Amino acid sequence: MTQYYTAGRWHKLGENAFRFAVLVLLALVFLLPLVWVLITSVKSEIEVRIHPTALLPEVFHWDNYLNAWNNTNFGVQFLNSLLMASGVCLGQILTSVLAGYAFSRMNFLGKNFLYGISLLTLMVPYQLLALPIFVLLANLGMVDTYWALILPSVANAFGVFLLKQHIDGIPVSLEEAAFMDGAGRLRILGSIVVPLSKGPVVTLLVLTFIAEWNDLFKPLVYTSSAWLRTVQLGLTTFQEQFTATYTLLMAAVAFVTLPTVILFFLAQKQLIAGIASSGMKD
Amino acid sequence: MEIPRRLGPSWRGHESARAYLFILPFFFFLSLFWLYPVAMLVLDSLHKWDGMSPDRLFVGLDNYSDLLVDEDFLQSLGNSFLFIAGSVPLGIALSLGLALLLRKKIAGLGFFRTAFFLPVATSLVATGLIWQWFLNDNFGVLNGVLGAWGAGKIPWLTSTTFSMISVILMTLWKDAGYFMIIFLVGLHSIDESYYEAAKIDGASRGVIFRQITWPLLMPITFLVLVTKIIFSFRAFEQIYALTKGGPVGSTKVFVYYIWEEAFKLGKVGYAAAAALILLLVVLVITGLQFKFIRRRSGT
Repeated sequence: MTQYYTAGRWHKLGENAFRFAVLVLLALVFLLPLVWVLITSVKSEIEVRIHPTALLPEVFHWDNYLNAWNNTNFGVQFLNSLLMASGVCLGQILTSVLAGYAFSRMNFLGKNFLYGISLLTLMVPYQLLALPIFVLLANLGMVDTYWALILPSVANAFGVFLLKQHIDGIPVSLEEAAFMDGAGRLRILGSIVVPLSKGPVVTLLVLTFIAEWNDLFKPLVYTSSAWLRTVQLGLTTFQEQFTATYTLLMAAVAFVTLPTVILFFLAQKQLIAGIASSGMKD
Repeated sequence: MEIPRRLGPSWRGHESARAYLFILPFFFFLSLFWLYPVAMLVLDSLHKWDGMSPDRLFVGLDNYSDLLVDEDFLQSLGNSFLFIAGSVPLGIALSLGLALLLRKKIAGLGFFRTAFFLPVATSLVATGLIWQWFLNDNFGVLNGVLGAWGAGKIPWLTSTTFSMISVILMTLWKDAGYFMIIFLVGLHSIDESYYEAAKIDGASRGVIFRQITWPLLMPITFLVLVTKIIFSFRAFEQIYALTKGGPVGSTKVFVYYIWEEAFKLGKVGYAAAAALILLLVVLVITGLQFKFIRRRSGT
């Protein structure tokens, strides 16, 4: 870095320009498959075969989107995915806030053991548990119902970990004051801790929503009815129907992906902070 | 950070009972959908069972010993190692490279971060579809671009040689943004004064990276390494979405093999034994990680 000092600002400018150029190139490579989805989705099926690499269609075929949407029951599937994701989010936030608070603030027998056990479940590949869970759901009469899409994901140790880490950092003196005024644990949690934990709660909400919206596994294994199909399962069935009709397939990919992309834009900062804190284990 | 907890165990008489009530909802669902299934898996692995019929035959450890000589199982294990060997080092290099490029302020930072992160928000089903199209032999844009440079058509998904490369490429694209964020946090946590001191000493860029960035980033790199290995062992959806394990089993990785044995061939006990072997591998890797972190913080 000697030159850095002698050549001064011009060198730094050149260096930044180079860094910028590399980033632009990499961003193009990363965006190319996604941009190609959008380009393909508005071409005609013939054009895709004759000029596969043409950047713009001769005529914009917006009707591909309408055809893709109408050719399956995507409306119902959007609703199913929304229900599944919202149910899981609600369940995870409730269980995580309660358990995260208890693990952070309360003392009880077997606390460390129970916390250790919960963290260990993060290491278990969940796909392998599908069969025992299927049998359990069948015994409860829940196979092929909304319950099968929601309940298996309600307990997630990641959420408990996220909330505990956060609550550990809140000064306990705030709660003491409330306690002196005669407030119970639950009221303290609701009126003091939860309002101070908006950050991790939103992170959990967004990460869980994206994960559930994108989940194929639960709908694939635990449901079979067409009316319970979620968007991701719908997308795979749509693919089986329109194997080589890439224009329609890419239109479907675009609108199935849109909600998570919007959510990502809205919650970008929060999401990045959340991933960051999950990476920092102390 | 340690906060004095003056509200100790004796805050209230029934503190313990109350605490159990707080963790009850979580542990109720954790027991039903995590702990109980793992216990069932252990039981199933000792039986010959198709998952439905009432006759479950106890076979002891036969499933385990059969697995060790099952060529399909060993091939899937080999495929998983191939997948890990290909995607983990490259993935770390890519994510670290992106993080290093985005460490300091630059015009369009938000745009770049979004560009690298968008694949993370895309579902694996959509990703699989996108890449099937992207890698299509005849009409795919990648072969189109390569063709413009005079390269021949590469059978990305239809040859046993290229199928695994395709799965690895797709995984690199999908996951880079996620681990980039973790590396970025690690880079930002390195004290700026180290760099200032190195600058004054006139250290070169390479020396700064080798002497400061790399060693101080080691705990994060190690965390990413372990997470990536575990993620890679668990890989299922991307295979299901892109190649369905083919062609000729060339991308049939560990979990995909287990899934096929259990759900397509009805060999539930057998698949359970394989699943437990995977679980054991993952636990050993995690244990090593903890040991490593402890050793580091000890010195």
